[in-house]
Amino acid sequence: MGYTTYVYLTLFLGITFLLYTVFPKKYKWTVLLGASYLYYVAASRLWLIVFILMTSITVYIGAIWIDNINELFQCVKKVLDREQKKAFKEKLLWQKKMVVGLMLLINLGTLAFLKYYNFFAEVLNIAIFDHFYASIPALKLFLPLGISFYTLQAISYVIDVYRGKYKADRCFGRVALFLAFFPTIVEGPIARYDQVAQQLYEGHSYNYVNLTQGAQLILWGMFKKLVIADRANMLVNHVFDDYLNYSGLSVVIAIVFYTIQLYTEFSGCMDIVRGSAQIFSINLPENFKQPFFSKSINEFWQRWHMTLGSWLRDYVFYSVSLSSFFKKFNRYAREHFNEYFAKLLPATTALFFVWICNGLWHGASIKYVMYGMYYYIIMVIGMFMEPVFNKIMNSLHIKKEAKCFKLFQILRTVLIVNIGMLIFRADTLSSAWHMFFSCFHNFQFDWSIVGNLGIDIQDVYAIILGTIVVFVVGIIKEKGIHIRETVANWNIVFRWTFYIISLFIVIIFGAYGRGYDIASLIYAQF
Amino acid sequence: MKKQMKVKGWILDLSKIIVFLTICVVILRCLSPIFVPKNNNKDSGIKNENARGFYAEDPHTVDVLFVGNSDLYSAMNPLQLWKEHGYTSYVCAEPQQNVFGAYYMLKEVLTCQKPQLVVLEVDELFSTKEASDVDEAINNALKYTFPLFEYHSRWKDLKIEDFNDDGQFYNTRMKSKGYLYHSNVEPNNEGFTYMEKNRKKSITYSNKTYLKKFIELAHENDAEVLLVWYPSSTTGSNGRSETLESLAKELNVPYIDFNVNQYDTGFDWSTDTRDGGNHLNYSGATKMTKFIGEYLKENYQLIDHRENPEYDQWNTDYEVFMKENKLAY
Repeated sequence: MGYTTYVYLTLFLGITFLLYTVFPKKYKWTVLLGASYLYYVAASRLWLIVFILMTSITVYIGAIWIDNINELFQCVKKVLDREQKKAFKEKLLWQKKMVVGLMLLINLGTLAFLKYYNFFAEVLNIAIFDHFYASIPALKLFLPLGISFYTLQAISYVIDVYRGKYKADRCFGRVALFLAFFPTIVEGPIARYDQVAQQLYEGHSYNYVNLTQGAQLILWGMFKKLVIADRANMLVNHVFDDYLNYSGLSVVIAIVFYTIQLYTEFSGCMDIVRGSAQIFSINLPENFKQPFFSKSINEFWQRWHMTLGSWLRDYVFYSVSLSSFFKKFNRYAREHFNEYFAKLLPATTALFFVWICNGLWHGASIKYVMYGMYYYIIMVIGMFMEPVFNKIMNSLHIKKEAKCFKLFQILRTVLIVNIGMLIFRADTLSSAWHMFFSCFHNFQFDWSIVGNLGIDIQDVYAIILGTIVVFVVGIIKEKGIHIRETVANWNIVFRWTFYIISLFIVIIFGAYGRGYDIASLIYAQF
Repeated sequence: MKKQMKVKGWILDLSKIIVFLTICVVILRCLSPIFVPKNNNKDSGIKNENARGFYAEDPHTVDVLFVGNSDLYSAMNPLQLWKEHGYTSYVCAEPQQNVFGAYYMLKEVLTCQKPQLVVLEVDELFSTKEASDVDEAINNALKYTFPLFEYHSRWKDLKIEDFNDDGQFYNTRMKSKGYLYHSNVEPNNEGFTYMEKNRKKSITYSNKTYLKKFIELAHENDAEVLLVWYPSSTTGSNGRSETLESLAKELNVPYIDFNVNQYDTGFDWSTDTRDGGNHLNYSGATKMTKFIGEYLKENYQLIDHRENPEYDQWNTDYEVFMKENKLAY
């Protein structure tokens, strides 16, 4: 049951909204929890619900266990002297670490086994076992719907309780709903417990503004997904599936269109997800903030898939940086390198783990590892070379604040991102390599070639026009204007005309039905 | 007082939503005729033109209507039925048709034809998920009510004529009457062993509901219903056949299953399929049609129109079909 299907948009959302509205405030969360499990079963397989239930139960118990250890310390510490307190604290810290370790083993272990077993088995076979004429067998494994998303949410919850950010939740329903909330289960956003759990649980009264603005956000997401992404998907598939027969401008167009496709599809899906939640007056975190206006790769990743970026920062980067081993490494760096390197070396080393995790999270293949490494290397080069770049700019009298320079930075980022997208989309690294070089082969500004890229020329124009609309909306949002609220203040005639035209643009120009492939969500497979 | 205000607010909000949706429905109604193809041929952009040639048949001349998916248009030849028995029939089969599509197809046909018998190819009754079926049910209902949903992509081909209110001219005749001729042979070497496979045998609630609606619609229009399952190695299984057998009994409609019983048709998987067992070829279709013709003769009071000069066109179509496909007649 995809988010753009009739059954989801009309029946599922409609009935859930009606039940949510009529249920007493105290029990509204039960409607959301019931709907979430129903959605899970409808979109996946009945027995796969076991995995999400297992995660919900284990992190619920695990967090309470950690909390009980904390409370034990608070109760006992008054009767202990300083030395005893220190020893007892260390013992309890060890216990807490064991609980977190157990939680990670169960949940991350399940994800790692289901998602990466075959990948690592293949790597080990090639690296070791093949030499001894042995092999680790490949297994036919199912990846439960949303496991990459809800597992990260579950881990963030347990670690936050461990770090004392908040106390463990004693209400199982709230934890279960936080992990299984139906709009977020397929593609995120990877929400944090303190951001959404209480909102989901508390029960909101019917709110016309949220209902209509949620519906408008869904419509905007549908525009991006159906009018642009699903249309671009056909051209992209056509060229990438037959890349040996394309070169020059055709490949460049396919790469740029894939970037457009991935952005409009993922951000469009997030709009549908956030709109679905807003109907129930629930505010989910944003995942995109006009990433193509970024002036650096670092900034790009703060605006693209923001919830994954912040998760990796909080639970990988900080966990690595604050580990005792890393503290020792830090000390070593300070003692053995100059100030500049001593400052950068630990940060870039911790970043390595972030980007390895980022790559692997996207998929179990060397391609995705290299995708992560591609951004890592660019960031590290940027960090280490900053003084050199600054010197060059000073000697050339280039002002960082100049508009032209900012535009140059944006275009540079777009170029780097497009190359990253090529690695991301190509079937293998070698095909990405081949396509990269084929961009420079037979390159001619001959627009007529777009007619040979698997879609009608009118479809290409529809993608371009749609992208311009998204671009203009991005500029308006960058200026801090809230479009839906602005439109809501218009006269009813203009307002409704605007809504109706928008709706019919999606109905008429959407790439759905006969003649168009059903494009499944790209991030749902991760 | 506060509660009264609240209720007033709800009524106002509800009214706004109803008015907004009504305006949308009116616009859908107004836009749909613009986007609907103005002819029933391929160039006009009509959906599965092969299945929609019935529009061009003289009104109320099709006595037997066949509805189903690609298995059907590969297995049933109306011109052979005409030649052997003089029965007029049309195959309204579409690739990947589902029972919801079949129901609306029947509705479409009943606007210009009055068949005495409707044959449903039941291969399309097996699906995987209830949610997808409900989605398809909504999708088909929307497309039937507001054809804009079906033909929206014609925005690329709209011409001035599409905006004129001159109506549609569905006058393109399909000489093969919906049958698709394929002579190549790609044998299914596994034979009927596929029947032992453990395939999901239950029929979803939505599919069952629409099958009942389909039968009711036919009965309301004085047509009898016959269920047929042509040989299909990619979908058939003993479990599924048993499900259909009991469902047919429950609904009180006759059912013929060529996967379970080949009724001395001489059907042979090594010669009668064009793609390794998914679809039949001309040889397979000839055997199936021959049996169905005899079955109809024995069980229904259909009229032999061969001597009726008003039906001469059928003879012409038969000759053209045989000549075009270089078949002896």
